[in-house]
Amino acid sequence: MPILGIIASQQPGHLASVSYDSIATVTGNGSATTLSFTSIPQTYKHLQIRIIARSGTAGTGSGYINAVFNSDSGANYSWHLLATDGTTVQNAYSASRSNAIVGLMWSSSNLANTFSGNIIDILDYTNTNKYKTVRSMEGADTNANTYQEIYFMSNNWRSNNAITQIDLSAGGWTFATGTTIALYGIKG
Amino acid sequence: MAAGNTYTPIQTYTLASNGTVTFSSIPSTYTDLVIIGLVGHASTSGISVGVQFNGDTGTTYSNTYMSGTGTSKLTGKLTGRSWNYIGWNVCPDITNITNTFVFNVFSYANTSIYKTTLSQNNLANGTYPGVEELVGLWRNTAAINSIKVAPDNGNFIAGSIVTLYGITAA
Repeated sequence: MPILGIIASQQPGHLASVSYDSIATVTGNGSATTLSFTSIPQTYKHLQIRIIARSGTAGTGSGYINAVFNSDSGANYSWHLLATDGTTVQNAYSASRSNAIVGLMWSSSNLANTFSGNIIDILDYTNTNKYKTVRSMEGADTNANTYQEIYFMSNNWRSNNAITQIDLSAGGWTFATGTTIALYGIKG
Repeated sequence: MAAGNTYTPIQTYTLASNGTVTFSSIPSTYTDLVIIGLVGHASTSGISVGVQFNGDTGTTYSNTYMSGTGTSKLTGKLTGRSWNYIGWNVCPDITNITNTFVFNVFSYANTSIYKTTLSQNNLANGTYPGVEELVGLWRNTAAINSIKVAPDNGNFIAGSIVTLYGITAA
């Protein structure tokens, strides 16, 4: 998580000056397979996306949440991951991909009422002199009812363009009602 | 439309004496909660750090963890527990050595879902050092209005700091 320099207060509800703004929220409706943030303001230093997600599509375990920046679906992404299913720790990488993988969401076949939690940090997203780095973590648990997982992921988008749009999808899986994807801007 | 400035500090506890922390009467007006802690424990054996929501001490919590201690990588499932753990293997065990954690509670006021949590826990010294991430589940759809943060045995030492923040989505 980017260092926010947050000032804690001893007074309930007392708001110190902070640098973290909510920008927009998109939600699943049970049929949408892509959710997007467009016209992203260019006035922040970093972005954070916080997600709770579940799919309306049946399947085994979970599916990756993919991100495409500025509609770039060329082979300009690479990623690494470290993960566990509670039994085995695994790691993997992939280069020259057509999207970043930034999170995961449960299929509808998993324990009812459970959603995955995801936190995605997109660093220095307006800088036109560097490729873009994305780091994220995800987790979901079911009390060993079906599946459980923790994922750490890092991604690289090989483009110097400022990010103005983010499209999130999951390989054709729908985003279930209750899925909430919130975008925040961090000043720097 | 942007809802604007958020990540609001709700309450901070700096312990003047050994004890535990409970955030109560948590407003339901935020989207997510984040707890940041810097805590120590007086025990010379490792203890785990966890939370309990709304005074629920039943076995309604579970976690999956992944830890790296510098010599071992560990993973496992904790099922049917009476604590939602922030730290399991990486925990304070020496006076004046503290561990730090960031604990996220997603959609804590949503009464249609069980509550998912994510935590990162770190300690750089002692018998139980390392880095750790845990995902947790509280199998209850009630909105969270109180959170007890404590070791699962004993107390945090004086000087431990625990802060609760609220994040509001647009």
